[in-house]
Amino acid sequence: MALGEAPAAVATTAPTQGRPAWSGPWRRFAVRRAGRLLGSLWVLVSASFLMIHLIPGDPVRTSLGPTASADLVAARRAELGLDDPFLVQYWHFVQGLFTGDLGTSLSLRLPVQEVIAQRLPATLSLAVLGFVVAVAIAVPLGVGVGALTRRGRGRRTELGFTTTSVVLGLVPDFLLGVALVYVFGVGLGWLPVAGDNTPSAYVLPALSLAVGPAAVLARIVRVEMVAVLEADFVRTARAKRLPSRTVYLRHALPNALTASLTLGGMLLGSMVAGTVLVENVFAWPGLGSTIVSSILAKDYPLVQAIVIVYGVGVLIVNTAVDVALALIDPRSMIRED
Amino acid sequence: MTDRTHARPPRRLGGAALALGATAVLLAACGGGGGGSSSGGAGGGDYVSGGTFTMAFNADPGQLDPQSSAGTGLFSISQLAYDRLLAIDADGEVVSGLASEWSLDGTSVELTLAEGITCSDDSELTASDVKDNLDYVGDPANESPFLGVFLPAEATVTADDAARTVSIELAAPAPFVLQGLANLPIVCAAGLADRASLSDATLGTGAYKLTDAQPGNQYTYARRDGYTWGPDGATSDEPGMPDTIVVRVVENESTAANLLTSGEINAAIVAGADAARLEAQGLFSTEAQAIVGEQWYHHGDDHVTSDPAVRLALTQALDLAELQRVLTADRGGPPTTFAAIDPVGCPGDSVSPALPEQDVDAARAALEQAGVSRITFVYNTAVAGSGGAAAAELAVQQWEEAGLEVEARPEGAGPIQETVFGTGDWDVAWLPLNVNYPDQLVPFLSGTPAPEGTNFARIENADYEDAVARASALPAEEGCATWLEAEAHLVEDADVVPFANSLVKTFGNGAEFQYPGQFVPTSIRMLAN
Amino acid sequence: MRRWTAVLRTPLGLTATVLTVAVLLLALLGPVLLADAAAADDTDNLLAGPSGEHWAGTDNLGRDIFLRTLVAARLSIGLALAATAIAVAVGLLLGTAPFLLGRFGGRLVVAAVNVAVAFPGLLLALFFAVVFGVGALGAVLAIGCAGAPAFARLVQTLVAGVAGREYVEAALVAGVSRPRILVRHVLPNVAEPLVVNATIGAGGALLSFAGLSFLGLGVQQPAYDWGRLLFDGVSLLYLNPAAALAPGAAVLLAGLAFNLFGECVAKSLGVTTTASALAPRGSRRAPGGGRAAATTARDTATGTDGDGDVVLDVRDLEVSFPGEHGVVRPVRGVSFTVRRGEALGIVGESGSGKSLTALAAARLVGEPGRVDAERLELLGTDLQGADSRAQRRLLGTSLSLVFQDPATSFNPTQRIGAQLAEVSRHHHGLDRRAALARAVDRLRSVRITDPERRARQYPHEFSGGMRQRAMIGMGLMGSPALIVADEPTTALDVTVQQQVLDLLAAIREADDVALVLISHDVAVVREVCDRVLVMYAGRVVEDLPAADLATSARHPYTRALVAAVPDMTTDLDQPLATIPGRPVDPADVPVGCAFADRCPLVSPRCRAEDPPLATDPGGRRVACWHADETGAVAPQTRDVAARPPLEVS
Repeated sequence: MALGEAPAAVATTAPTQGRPAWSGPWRRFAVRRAGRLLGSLWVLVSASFLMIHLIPGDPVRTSLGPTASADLVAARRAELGLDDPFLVQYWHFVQGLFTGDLGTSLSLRLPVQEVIAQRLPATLSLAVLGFVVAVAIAVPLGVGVGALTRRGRGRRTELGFTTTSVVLGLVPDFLLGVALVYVFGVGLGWLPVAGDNTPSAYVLPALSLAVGPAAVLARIVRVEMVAVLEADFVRTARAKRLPSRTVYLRHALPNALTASLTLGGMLLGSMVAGTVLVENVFAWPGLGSTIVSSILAKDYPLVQAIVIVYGVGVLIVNTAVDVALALIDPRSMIRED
Repeated sequence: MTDRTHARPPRRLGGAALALGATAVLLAACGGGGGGSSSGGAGGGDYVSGGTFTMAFNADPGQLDPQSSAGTGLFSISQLAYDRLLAIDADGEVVSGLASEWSLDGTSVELTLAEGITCSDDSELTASDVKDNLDYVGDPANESPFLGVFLPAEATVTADDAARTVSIELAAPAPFVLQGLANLPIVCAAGLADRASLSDATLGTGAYKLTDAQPGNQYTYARRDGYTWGPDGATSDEPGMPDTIVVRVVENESTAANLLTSGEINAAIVAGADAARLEAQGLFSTEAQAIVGEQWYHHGDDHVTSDPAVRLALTQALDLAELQRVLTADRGGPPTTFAAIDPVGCPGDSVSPALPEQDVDAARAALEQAGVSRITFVYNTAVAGSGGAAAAELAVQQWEEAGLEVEARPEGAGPIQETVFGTGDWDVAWLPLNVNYPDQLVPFLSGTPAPEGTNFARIENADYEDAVARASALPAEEGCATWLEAEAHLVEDADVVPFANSLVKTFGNGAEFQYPGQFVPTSIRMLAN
Repeated sequence: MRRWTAVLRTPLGLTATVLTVAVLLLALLGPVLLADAAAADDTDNLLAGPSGEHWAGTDNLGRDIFLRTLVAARLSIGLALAATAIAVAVGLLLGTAPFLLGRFGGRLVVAAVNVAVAFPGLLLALFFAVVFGVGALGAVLAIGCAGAPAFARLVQTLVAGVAGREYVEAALVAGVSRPRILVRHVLPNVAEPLVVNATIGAGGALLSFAGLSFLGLGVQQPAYDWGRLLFDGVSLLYLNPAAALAPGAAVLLAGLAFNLFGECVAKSLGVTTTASALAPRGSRRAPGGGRAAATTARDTATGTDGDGDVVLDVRDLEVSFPGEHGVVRPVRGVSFTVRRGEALGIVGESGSGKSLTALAAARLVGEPGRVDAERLELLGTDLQGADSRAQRRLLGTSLSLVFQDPATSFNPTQRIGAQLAEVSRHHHGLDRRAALARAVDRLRSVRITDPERRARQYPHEFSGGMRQRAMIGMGLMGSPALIVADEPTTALDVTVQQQVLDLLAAIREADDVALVLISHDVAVVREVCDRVLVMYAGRVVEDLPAADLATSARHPYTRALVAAVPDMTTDLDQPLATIPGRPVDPADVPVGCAFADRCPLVSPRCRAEDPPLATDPGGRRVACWHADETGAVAPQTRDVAARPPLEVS
């Protein structure tokens, strides 16, 4: 019962053993969440497998053109394993995923798993950093502005903040990246403009990745914060005459965050895919640059593998958000999803 | 699974393609900076030994076996770890490389290796090793892209390890054989025995050896001590030489220019519009000429372009001077020879006088008469950046004015090679092919068609072949006029139309070097700040 | 249609509308007017910088980048709209499927949409770009398909909302086919939010297109959209920033215009957006704005003069809020005292200011509300001074509050025990352990069984009655002299209401604690309290012993309240009695007696002069020109449609 063990760490806080009221919700939550994760993974893997079969007409013909010799087409079909029966191909694909054999890249002539292993760390570090920066900007900003604009105060602050964050949230990350390069890299010469060789090289890519989601997230946090500050339990906390710091941090913030995380989680998930554009702006040696060139080169095995890697990244973020939600607000466990 | 079982599609994918393209100079020659010149604000003399020299490449070399491909990326990076038997100096003269003495007499080449040459695995390079290299390249079964280009076909090689001599007996006269050998990287014995080991490590005699490879990102090389067999006796102890060379893959030229400006890298080739701002900053630069606009027609029977009248009409329909201006962002000029990179083996002008004048009406009439209404046009997106795309758009417009329907297909460096060598799904292609010596082009302009051979356009031009035969019989310089005559036949018949040359600049920041076409590792000098 | 035009009234809405119209006009007219000029080559003048002739410079062929940007509007917007249309169509198909397919097939579709919606649009777009191929058509299909799951989720939510309505259920029962119901009843209701969201979606699609084209996967030459121009412009960024700036600004402006326009319309229509449909929780109620108008009438104060027995002393209390049309005063000139062990009830209809009075006395009226009083003292300490630690401690330990809805009054993210313990940790300086022990003890004292275990539970694991007892227990963490209970039983089941009242009574008895009980329920107040304040329109209108309520109330309003309470004699077959007329809007209090309009005894004087709160020799107070006159304040039968119910606090 591997599933039962995951929540055990949390369940140890239960005062008395064998009380189903404690372990019950956690176990149910873990089982349901794991089930959803597995379901999504299956859909992801199947979709990326199907990708090559969804291409209208013959994918090999499509990629090689009408005048390609029959030999060449046959060789490419064999290389992609397209001659096997459909289910056998599917079986091989899934098997390959488990054994770490993802085929050979058509354009690089290297095993796909090697390309992924080579490229993933750069993308991962960028995504994680962007994630952290987005949250680090959004939460304090949203909470701060929320506190300033509570109960209809600071209308100008609110208008200015909302307008700015709406606009910033809509600026595509690649446009922002180009602008940042132009200003800080070339114009002022403060920061590196490409590559991931120095710590300072992370600044601009992480910023261009994080600013948009941070703006949207900050707006959500503010709205939730304003709403939470109106909530009865905050009045209760005030009635206890706690210092306002405690009221904000211990009572208002966790509740504003749970509500924000639900929407924010999707936003953060989309940041994983956002690395594709940002990497192309900053010549970042990650998966994002690779997926674009492999799409252009019709390098299907590589595209399939990278799509799976990105999809898994998104699923991990979504799951992590749900778990974080459950930890902060146990009610979210029983909420139907 | 070895990749042999996969169809390695047409033989020279990545091979004969000669890095057609890109902004980089390919197959550029050897050592010296012939017509290339250096300029810019170098500090002059204040060299600092040691440190790290970082340069940007616009393409990943892929697998690292130096004899597997002549693509720009690999060919350039191979200079660091692999030496050639001979070298060419800045004036275009043949100078010593691994061979300290050499002679060419008719069809006989005699080479004597320098003493004490060691490989990066500390083994010694013997004459037999050199013979094994030449035999490997010379064996058609190995599909080396250098065969017929840098090493004439059907050459017989003998070696004497005691005397350290290598003798090459050519099947036919080859006037530029020494210049060819100056491009051919030599692999050490262990690498020859286990070729697979060469794909991610280096085993050569070069001044540097690979210490870390991150495909698609960067390659790190470390300097070897006691290296004394560089071009014309250069050593690895020259003042100002870096301890470490890092080659970074930066596909976007603007990005490379930014990195150079910010001092993160020391060298980058910048051919496009970004060169202007680097020049404005007064950065050190070397420049070299290269063809960037060259139009090929598919001569195969099932293509409308097999008809000479159609090819002529398609050529006449274009304003080649305007295309050249657009393609090079007004920074280049018209080409004069097919083998255009410095040092140009045979200077002259085989192209301009032979080019047909623009005549849209005649073109329209000819195309109508031939019943041609539609062509497929592919161009390399890696060439000249947005200028390339703009020029292609302009060409399409001009063909449309001549009454054609054009399917224009932009393709990256990899896919376009697959198209021209493999699938053949094209009528007109823009692919610049750059070499120094006219004989190196022969396999591309005549002979076995793709996919079996390198004649990807399926050109059959009797006048050209006849002139080539005559020129090959003459010593290098004396044959030049005939070589140019051969090229002119191709232009007159509208078999191949070179239409734009560009000055490719290699910019440096914090370092100086010679990079007229090929990068010379022993020429790098790190500058004091 | 009128509701749509409401958008124009906000500055943001107006800007967005103007921009959207401008962008659409440009898309319509741009190519017609400018196509030739934009296509004019000038290879002698290529890659020129911005000039008077070429505002954004020229491209590689010497064409004017600014003009090309204008002309590109049609393709860019056309493609974005096409992609949006695909997204909406596919979304409609998937979104209505659960309604049409019935349980099993429907759940399958819902599950599939749930999975798809979790993946970011860009990833889906890249996936579909592989399937459909690189180019404009591929990109339209890719972005359309990538946007479909979000629309599907929206449609599902909307359809589920409409499907639950009575007329749809009636149609289903009547045997009308589901597709027919969908077309007849469901889709018309879904159309408006869908159109609004499609507008927002078009803005997103525009930006997505720019992204795909920027990666070289979108529109290919010689066609050009903004993304393609951007792709070209970025390569010239360092030579001529305007080349990237012009299309970049166009994309941004158009994207913003569509997005903001859609959002503004959605806001003015109160329409669900895709974003909120994705969130599992509904939106929260907005905080109520201030209301009520000014009046100068003041109650005559009853002096209590530094009596040591007085727990709470309030004199001339006024609460005001800034309103749209000047200051609103929902509580005006309220004075009362509460003695040790005394139970004071405050009754009145909703909006009478009774809860606000209690909150103001407890110093819990936050900004922008303003509390003024001649005197406001708890246990002899003035509460009007600055917020000091000593004052906080006094309030935190001596005054305890019990709120109406125990379900929302606890912090859902903290365990009950911790929430109780917090009081002692802050005010008594106890450590975590000792504070928790006290919390357990207090929970036990409010008759919660197994308090150790309960203390470690979250509020949602408690029943309603238990939560309210825990809330009372929280008030007992200190040693309260006064408990203010604001409608403590209203939200509870009838069966547990009495438990809570009994608990309050027991605590009062045990420690001689004073109680202020705010309620709309006259019966409860009569049972629990010693004395009753009756409030109307922010003023105290009567102050009398609870025992006198039924028999000798003097104010016609009090009598009406009492009469409205059903008792054992009420005929349950008759509709419930209620007071005729509506309570006064605090933003619009009349000059004279506020109750005049509803009063059976009304005289001209009532309308001209507000009666003062006069104290009689027995210490009772009443504010009425016609006190003690027995008029027929006959309760009328409730007319559901026309009359508001008595309460709702």
